[in-house]
Amino acid sequence: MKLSIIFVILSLWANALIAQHLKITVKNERVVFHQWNAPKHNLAVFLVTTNDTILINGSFKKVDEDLVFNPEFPMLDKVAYRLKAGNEIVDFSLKAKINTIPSVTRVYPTADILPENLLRMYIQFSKPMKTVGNLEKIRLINENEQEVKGAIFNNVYELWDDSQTQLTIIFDPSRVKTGLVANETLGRALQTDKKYKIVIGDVEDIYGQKLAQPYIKSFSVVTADMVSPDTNSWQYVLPKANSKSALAIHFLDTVDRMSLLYRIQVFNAQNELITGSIHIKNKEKTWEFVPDNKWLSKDYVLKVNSRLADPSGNNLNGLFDHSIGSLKNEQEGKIIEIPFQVR
Amino acid sequence: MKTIPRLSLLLVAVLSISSCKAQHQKGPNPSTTKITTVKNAAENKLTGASVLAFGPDNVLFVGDSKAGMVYAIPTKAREVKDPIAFNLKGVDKKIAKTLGVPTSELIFNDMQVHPVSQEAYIAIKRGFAVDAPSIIVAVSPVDGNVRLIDVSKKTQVKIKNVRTDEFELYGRSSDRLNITDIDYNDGYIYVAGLTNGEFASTLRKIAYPFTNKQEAVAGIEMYHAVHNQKETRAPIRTMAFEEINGVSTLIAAYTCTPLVSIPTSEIKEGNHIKAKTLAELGYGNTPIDMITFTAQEQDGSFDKKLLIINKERSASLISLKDFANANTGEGMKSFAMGPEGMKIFPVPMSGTMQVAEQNPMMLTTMQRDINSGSVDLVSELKGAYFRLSNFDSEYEFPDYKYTETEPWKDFHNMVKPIEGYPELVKEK
Repeated sequence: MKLSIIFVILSLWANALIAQHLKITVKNERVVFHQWNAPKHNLAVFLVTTNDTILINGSFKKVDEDLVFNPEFPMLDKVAYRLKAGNEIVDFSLKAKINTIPSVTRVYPTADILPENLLRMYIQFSKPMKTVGNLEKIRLINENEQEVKGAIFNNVYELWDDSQTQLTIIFDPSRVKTGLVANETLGRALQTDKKYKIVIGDVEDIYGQKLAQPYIKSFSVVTADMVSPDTNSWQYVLPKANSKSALAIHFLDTVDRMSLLYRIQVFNAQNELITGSIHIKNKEKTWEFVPDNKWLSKDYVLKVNSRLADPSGNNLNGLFDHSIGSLKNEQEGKIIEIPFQVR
Repeated sequence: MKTIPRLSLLLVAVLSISSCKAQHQKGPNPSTTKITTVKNAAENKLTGASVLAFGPDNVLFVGDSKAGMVYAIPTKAREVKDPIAFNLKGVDKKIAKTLGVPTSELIFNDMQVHPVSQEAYIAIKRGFAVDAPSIIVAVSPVDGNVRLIDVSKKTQVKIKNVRTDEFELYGRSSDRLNITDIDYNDGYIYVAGLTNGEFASTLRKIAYPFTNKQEAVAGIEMYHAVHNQKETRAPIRTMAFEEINGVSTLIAAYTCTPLVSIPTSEIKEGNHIKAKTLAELGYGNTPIDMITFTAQEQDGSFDKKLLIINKERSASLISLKDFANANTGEGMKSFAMGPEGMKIFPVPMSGTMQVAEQNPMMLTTMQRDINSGSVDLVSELKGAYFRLSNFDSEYEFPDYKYTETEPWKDFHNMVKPIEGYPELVKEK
C-alpha cells in the first residue's frame, strides 16, 4: 500500500521533471519535443482555454531521440497547450517569435500642416498588427480636447498592406467632398486655422500586445488643397552617367506616399524597366530613385500613372472634388511619359 | 534544509494531481477521441478568404484579397428541403474547437448559405499572423455540425490590378485590392473592392468559367452623378443583380451610401459609366451586405425584397417594386440626410454581421451578441426580420395571459419552436 503511494508520487514527480527539463522547439510549423524518453503511445496535444480543452489535430513521429508533432494547422504563439502522453502531462506554450512591444513608426503625410480636405493618412507600425477592430481606437481630437466623431471613415474592411504593418485611414469622403449633404450639414471634419491631433490608442499586434502609450500626431489645418498635381511643375535633378547617383523629382506640394511608391517608374529606350530603390524625402515633396546598376549615357523615360495623387485625392487627371466633364481624360490611369537623358 | 525538497516534491505532486484532475474533468480522453477529422489540412487552407458567393452548379466563389485571386470551388451537398432553423448561439466556440484555436483567434469574413444543403458556409481567417491560413467551414442546420471545406479542386483567376499593372516594381507588395463583394451574373463574376492607395470606383468583370486570360478581367470606372453635378470616385461596397422592369440591372450601394442602378449590358471594359442614384441610405453609415429574396406578405401575396445590412444603422428593407418605380425616373437630383429616394423600411437587424437567404421561409444571419461577445448563427423569419428570443417582453412574464383578440399569440407560438424554445409555447 505504502509502496504504491510512493510509486504514484514518484511517477508524478517524473512528469513534472519532463515538463521542467523538456526542450521544446518549433521547426517548419512542427513542434519538436527534444530527447523524448516518456511514453510513445496515446499521444495527443490539446489547446487549454479557461473553459475548454480542445484537441489539436495532427500526427506524431519519433525522429531519433525526439518526438515531433506535426499539427494540421500551424500552432499559435503564447497560448496554453498540453501534451498528453499516456498518463503524463506536459503543459507548454510556444514562445512568441517577436515579443517587442509594437510602436507607431510614422504617420503619413509627415507634414504638420495639412489641408482641410485631407482624404487619407497612412499609419506605419513597427510590426504586424491585428487587422480588425482598430478604427474605433483611432480618434481625431480638436483643440478643445473633444473627439470629432464621424471624421474617420469606418469601413467594414480595414485597409492594411500585405505585411499588416501599414493601415490606411480615410477621412469620410462624404464630408470631404463639397455638395454632399454630410459636407453641407456637418462641414468638413477638419477646419481651417484649427489644430488637431490623431490619437492612436489601444491597437494590438498579432500577439495581442498593445502600444506602450497612445501615439499622437499633431497638426494644424490650412485651406483646402484644390490644385491637382501637375507634371509640368516638377523639377528634376538628373543623374550622371556611369554613376549610381539618384534621379530626383521635387514637387511643389506633398504627394501621397503610396503614389510615390507605386506610380512612377523608370524605363530605358528599349522599354525595359530599370530596377532600383525609391527614397521619399522632404516631407513627401521629393522622390529619389537610386538604380541597382549604373546609369548609362543614354535616353531614359519616366512613366507616371495619372492616378498619382496628393493626400487630398487630387490626381494628375483632375481634382478629387470635380465637376462632370472636368477630368483631363475620361479614363483614369493614363500613363504619362517624360523622356530624359543621362550624360 | 531537509524539508525543502520534501515540500517541493509535495508541491509538484499536488500540482501534477490538480492538472491531471483538470484534464480528466474537462478534456476529452485521447485514447477514445478520434484524432483525425481531416486527412490533410492543406486541402482546407487558402491564403485568404475575404468574400464568398455561390454561382452556377453550386460552385463557391471565394475572393482572396491577400493573393489578389478569385477561386471557384466545386461543392457537394445533400439536399435539405425542410425549413430547419439555425439556432447556434456561440457558433464561434464550435468552429474554434474544430480548428484548434481560442475563439479570440478567429476572424469572421463572410457567410453564404448553400443553395441546396442550406449549410452556412463561413470564411474564417485562423489567427492574426500575417501567414495565418484562411478556411471555409460549413455548418449544417440539421445537426449543427461543423465541417471543413476541401478547397483543393479549385480553379482560379488572378485579379489584374488595373491600378498597378505597370507598377509591380522594385520588389514591394503592391497597392492591395481589398475585395468587398463578388456577384455572379450570366457568365461573369463582378468584383468590387477598395485599395489601400486610392479611393477609386473600379469594378472588375471576369468571365466564368475562368479562361486564365488576364484580358478577361475588365476594369470599369463607375460614377454616380448627383452630388450637385459633382461626380465621385467612390467605390462600390456591396451589390446584387436583379431584373428590374424587364432589364438585367446591377444594384449597388456605394461606401457613402447612395443606392444606384445600372443596366448590366452597359458594364463593359472601357465604358465610363454613370449610374443612376435612386436612394440615399443615410449618412454616417456603411452598408455591409446586400441580398434579394422573395418573401410572403401578410396578405399572402409574394413580393421580391432588397435587404441591405448596415454597420451603424438598422437594416434597410426595400420592395423591388418601389425600386423599379424609382428606376423609371431620372433618379435623385439632390441629397437629403437620408434615408430617402424610395420607401425604405428600417428593420431591427443591427448587430448582424452577415445575412443570406436560407429557404423560402428564412434568412440566415451571423450576429455578434453584444452582451457575451460571442458569434451566433441564427435564422430569422422573412417578414419578421428579428429574433423573438433576442428581446425581453411582457409576453414572457409568467402571469401574462394573451387576450382573446391578441394578434401576436399565434405568431409567438409559431416562432418559439423555430428559435429552439418549444417549451415556451403558451396555450393562453
